[in-house]
Amino acid sequence: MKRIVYTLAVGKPKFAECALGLGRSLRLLGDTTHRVVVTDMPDQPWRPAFDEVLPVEDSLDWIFFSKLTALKRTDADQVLFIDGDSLAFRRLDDIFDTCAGKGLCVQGEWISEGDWYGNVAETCRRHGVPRIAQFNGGMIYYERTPECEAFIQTIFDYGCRSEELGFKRDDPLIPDEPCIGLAMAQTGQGTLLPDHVDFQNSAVGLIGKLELDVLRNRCEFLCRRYTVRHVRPYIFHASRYINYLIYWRQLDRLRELEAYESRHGYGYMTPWHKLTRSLHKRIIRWKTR
Amino acid sequence: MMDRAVFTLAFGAQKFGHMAMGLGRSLKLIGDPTPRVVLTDIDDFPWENAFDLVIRESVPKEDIWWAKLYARERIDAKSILFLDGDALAFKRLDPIFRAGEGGVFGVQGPWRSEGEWYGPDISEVCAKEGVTAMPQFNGGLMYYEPGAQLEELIAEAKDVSANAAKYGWTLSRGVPADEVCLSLAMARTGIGRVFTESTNFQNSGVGLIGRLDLDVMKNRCQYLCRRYDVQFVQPYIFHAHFYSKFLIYWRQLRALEKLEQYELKRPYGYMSPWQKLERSVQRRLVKFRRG
Repeated sequence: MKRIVYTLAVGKPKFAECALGLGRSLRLLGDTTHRVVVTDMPDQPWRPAFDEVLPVEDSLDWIFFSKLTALKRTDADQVLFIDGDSLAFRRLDDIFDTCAGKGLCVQGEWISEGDWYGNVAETCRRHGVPRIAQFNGGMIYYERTPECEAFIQTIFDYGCRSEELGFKRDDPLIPDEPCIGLAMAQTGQGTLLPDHVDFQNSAVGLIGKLELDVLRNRCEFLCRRYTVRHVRPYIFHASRYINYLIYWRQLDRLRELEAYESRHGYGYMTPWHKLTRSLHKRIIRWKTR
Repeated sequence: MMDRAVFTLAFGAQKFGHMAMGLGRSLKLIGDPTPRVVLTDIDDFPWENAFDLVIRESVPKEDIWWAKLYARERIDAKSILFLDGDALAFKRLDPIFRAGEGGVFGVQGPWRSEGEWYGPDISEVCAKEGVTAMPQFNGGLMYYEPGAQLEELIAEAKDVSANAAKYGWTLSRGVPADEVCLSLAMARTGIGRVFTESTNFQNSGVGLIGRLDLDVMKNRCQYLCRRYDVQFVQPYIFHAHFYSKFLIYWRQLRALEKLEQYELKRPYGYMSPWQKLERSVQRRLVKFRRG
């Protein structure tokens, strides 16, 4: 079974910086999943953070649905789409293992009220379903099975009818999340992973400090979402934190580490490190003689 | 029927209510999905905020230890994890259930054939019973699976308890501790599973060296301690045990209570005015620096 991580970097150069950050963070962790980026910025330094670079095929308004095109565009059997503005803090095997055989998987909760792309109770009434799947489309798993491929086609059909279904964004982009959420509710297909799996979290409802440090592989925080919880996600989806300096500092560090790797050889020791070793060696000899 | 359940007790003084609430809240805070059940005779606590099922019942004095096993008769679950109310959870419980699965009964500790435990030396008890060793464990964590084999083990343990005078164990409220009775019953019947100390499913910080690093807000519980050997420990469950007399434990309970209040007062995704201001300023800075 071939597994891939699939991401998009389209439009402004800052989105390429974000996606590079995702690839670099996965590489830093030693995650070995084949990484594929779909982009209209082929001149960016995609390698070594990504193994494969594909051109954009879809129009901009359909870009959210490009998340689900990996089965057509690659030979992967299991696909984990991750939004470019994410950073990984744990290897992805657990996610692939958990989702294997479950078709299309997203992480979230079933809701029947509140506000999500409009009034949820009204959406449910209008479409004759008791509830819809609320999730963050920053992480979507899907796989090469006839059922899953057919379900993805159903989602595309919902996308084509999104305006008629009553789903709109403030910009011209067609939103994928409510189309998938409604398709799951109406067809009973797809799997909604409970929020507590913490495969992905975007620190919405943060309480106190966001502990985020790629150099220490640390991402943890308290947040008030469905309940107050302490979270250590596999993937931190920066989402609104793309407007915070702390996120961009992580991208800078990841870029610097990549540069360090290209400039220094295996096992490189700094002169300072060598000096310390030399001093310590003398002290140890003196103490143990 | 529930697949799994966590079970705890809170009866008597109000302080035990605060402690058990702390356990429930700590499990909720780390997102543990196991249904939580409390058996209590203490009113005035918002039990439903932290527990899925509240059984309101008193426990007779003579049953004080055996109440830990009450859940087998009061709830319909395939496997039950009893945790003492004065515990705090720092890791999700799934690995403990998996370790116990199929074992009927499970506790954490070493098999020992000597050393003092509740008065007499283990070697004396073993010699009287003709067994080579007994598991020495802390009864703050017990895994069990209701069924005939568990009943057999409990009947054996109650028989040991009824003949406690024979072994010379220290009595509390006129009865020996459940730990020695169950331990000897395990040794006699061969029923049950003993999780090694290195699993660190539970630790009570006995033999602490240096500082106890305990902070529910940061999901941190780690320390060095000298028990069977010197070890760095990051337990799943911190059993406060004698730390219930330390302020640091009560500060954790207070912090958990405050977080519960926060959740009740604020909706999904709440941002404080300060966070909104910070975001607004930082957005401008990011735009200025990155274009």
